[in-house]
Amino acid sequence: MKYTQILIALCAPAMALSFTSCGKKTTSGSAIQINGSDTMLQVGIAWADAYKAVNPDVTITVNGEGSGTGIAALINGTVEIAQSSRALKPEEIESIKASHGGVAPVEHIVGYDGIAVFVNKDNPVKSLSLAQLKEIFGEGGSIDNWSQVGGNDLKMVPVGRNNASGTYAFFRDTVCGKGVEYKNAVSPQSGSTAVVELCTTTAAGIGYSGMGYINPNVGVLSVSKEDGGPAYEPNAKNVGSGDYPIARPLYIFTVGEPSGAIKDYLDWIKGPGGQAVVEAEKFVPLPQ
Amino acid sequence: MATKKTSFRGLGAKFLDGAEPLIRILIYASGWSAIIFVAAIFYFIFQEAWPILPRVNWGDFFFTNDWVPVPAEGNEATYGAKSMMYGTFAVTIFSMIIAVPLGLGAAIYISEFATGKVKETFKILIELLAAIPSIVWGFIGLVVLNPIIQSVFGVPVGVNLLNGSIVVAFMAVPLIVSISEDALRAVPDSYREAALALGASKWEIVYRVLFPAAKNGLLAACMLGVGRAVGETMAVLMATGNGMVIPENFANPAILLDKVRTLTATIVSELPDSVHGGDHYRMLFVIGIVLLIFSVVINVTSDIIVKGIKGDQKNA
Amino acid sequence: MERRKVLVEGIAKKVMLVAALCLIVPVLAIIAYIFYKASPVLGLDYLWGVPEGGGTGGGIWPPLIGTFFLVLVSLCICAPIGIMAGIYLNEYAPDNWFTRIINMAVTSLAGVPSIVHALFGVGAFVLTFGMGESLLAASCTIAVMTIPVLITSTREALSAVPMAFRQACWNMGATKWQTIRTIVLPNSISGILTGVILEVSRAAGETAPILFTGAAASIPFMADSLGDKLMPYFLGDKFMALSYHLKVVADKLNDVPEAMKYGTAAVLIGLIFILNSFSIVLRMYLRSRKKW
Repeated sequence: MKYTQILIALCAPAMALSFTSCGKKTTSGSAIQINGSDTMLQVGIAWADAYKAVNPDVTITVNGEGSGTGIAALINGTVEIAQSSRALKPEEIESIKASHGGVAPVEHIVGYDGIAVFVNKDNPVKSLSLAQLKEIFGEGGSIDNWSQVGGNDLKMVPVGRNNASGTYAFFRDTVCGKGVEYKNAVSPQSGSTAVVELCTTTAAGIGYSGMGYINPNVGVLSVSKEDGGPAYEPNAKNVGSGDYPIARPLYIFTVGEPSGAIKDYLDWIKGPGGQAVVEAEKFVPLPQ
Repeated sequence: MATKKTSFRGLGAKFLDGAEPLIRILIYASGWSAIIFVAAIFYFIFQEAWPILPRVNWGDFFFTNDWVPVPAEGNEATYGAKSMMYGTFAVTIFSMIIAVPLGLGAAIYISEFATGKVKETFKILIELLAAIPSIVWGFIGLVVLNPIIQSVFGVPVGVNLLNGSIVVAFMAVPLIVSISEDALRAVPDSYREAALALGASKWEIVYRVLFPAAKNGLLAACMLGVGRAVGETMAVLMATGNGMVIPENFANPAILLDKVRTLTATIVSELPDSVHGGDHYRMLFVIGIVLLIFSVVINVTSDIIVKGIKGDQKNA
Repeated sequence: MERRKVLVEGIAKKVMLVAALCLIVPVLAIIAYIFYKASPVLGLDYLWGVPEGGGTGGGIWPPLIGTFFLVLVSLCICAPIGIMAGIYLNEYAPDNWFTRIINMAVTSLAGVPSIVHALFGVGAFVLTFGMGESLLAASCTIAVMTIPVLITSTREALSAVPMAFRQACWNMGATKWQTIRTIVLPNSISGILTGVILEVSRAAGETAPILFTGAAASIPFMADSLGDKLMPYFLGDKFMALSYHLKVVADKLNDVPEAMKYGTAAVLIGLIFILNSFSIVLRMYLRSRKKW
């Protein structure tokens, strides 16, 4: 019977799979699952790639759809490490404790990230103050044309991240201040790359994203704390010194103090090897 | 050798015959599985959304425009999905404006005018068109159509309602073509012959005979196209620009160049960032419920339109 | 009068032809463009290589084999259920309201948006059934999503077998199952296989349902180990998939060379087209040797 043979042929690999299945890949050493921030996806992949040379026995899976996913995965116990661009919320700490027998999450700061303000490369405006940014991005703000800040007569196209991303909340809280939401005109893009891409191709674009996403094809504004004050470029030196006003830590969360392979990995990240990667990915390394 | 094989086969056949009661149970269970799956989808989505359902302010949800799930300090989170409803609605309408004429036209051409090799080729190409994955369409919208729209219309951003509608139209069209074609083919040939005998041209047959005879099927094809457009996710995420703005003047064609955001794109872009088990997370499942109910209503209605309330399976 | 009729006829025919061409030509042009842009990287090294920096360089073997595994596992789950459901609906189901509801459930299931399937996958397989984000959870989600494809095509294949064949078999004293097994299935196997291939091509392209149920942006690969290359993922592991990889390189990573983006898209399109061509060829072959 031809068709039974075909059915058996279909089912055989399934059997084989299910026999070998279900275990994580323990044969070739330990496995670390990482999930979390979209901003930290690229640096996370770079760490994992570089760590292969240090310890080839550890398989590190990296994912990065958003900080919330990483923390949710930590709560569910499906990952060992959550990368996040925001601090844990109280209800998340409670959930982690509840699902891990009272063990609290531990926060590791592994670097810093300046949020750069991106514009088109040809835009004559080179710097803005926090107050001007608030007028551009904040609800009820009065600036919607580049001529109002010394640029060409072009209607601004402000873009941002989606409403729930860590970067979204951080930029708003730093730039717009307490109780002020974004304008409705600030359209959320699907990720950091999309924001930068849009500013690269759009003459009137203005958007924010991690400074890891700076590339030679896009313009980056210097930002000053006060109108008329000194404006600083988002670079490692200015973020490290605290002069650049829109900067935040990059977090890694584990459940309880890490041990074994995970501890080795985190120690390596915080050490010179991992910090070199942080710098190569255009984030700001920890002060040594 | 040959006998051995036969006896093995005989043994297998005996085994398979003996297993008939068991197999019948499996077949019945599988047959009913579709109901179980649909019920399970409802159950699990309601399960995740359940805790917030009594607290949802449905008036705000449908009629206000503020979707601020992670508010600034001191503010309350608000969940007004009107702009996303508008986005989904606008993408659906404009994509159907493109897809329905093209789809019906192509279906009529393929089913009534084309013959032989041409007909086969078109059918195969339409089938391949249907196979292009959503994510590839999103890629086409983002990387290929985006610069084209920018230069044709002189706008700064080419991912917008127009881009999304074109992409979704092309995704929905194969469905419309194949279902319309089925509907046209289901019209008995005797109708065509009768009209021919009366001296009608092919176009008159299509216009005067086939349209009225197949109107239910054609309507269902368009409805399923609407269902596809509303549910489309990855492509609209990448091609519509995700702006939450409702235009003030709908008569202005410039709204085509506005960024819009659909219900589906909201779920896929915000779910990863939401606090698991939090209000925001559950509100995204509430959006899922809205989409689910809408899609089931569309599909069941179009099913009833085609087959009638009692359902004539054999003609399906 | 007659001349006007001919004129209208000609115009109508042209308009319909243009509509059909409007669907096909731009899409073929865009696909050709994608392949043209991808041509600098397309090659065995690219297919067999391992991504560097999550996709900014190197090849795409891990997502390719990941898609293969996803398709295989989902097929193993939904092929038996889908085919048996098709058998049930065509051979066993009585003509009553309950069957009508099943049919409506099948159409509804086919029309449920992929993102809703994704939410279902998260709620059911990842959380409630404790599979976590894994190949198994993603395959189950895809399986539920693609089952209607199989049910419909199996039912169509079975209903194409003439009733007289069955009656002849029953008259010889065969039971219902014997008839199905020895007469109906062997005569419709090609049609069922067409459905299987369509399911495969659908499963290979889906992104939203695997996004939250098991796809990973990057998994380090031992580039030199053949075993790792051929059997990289187990059921409990996360996996890379071609469709999600395309989203990552197109939309998430910075500094991805253009050719890498187009390359991923080209490979995905190529894979889907090859699978669909199989099903088309199979169907033509079937039609050419049909005995009744």
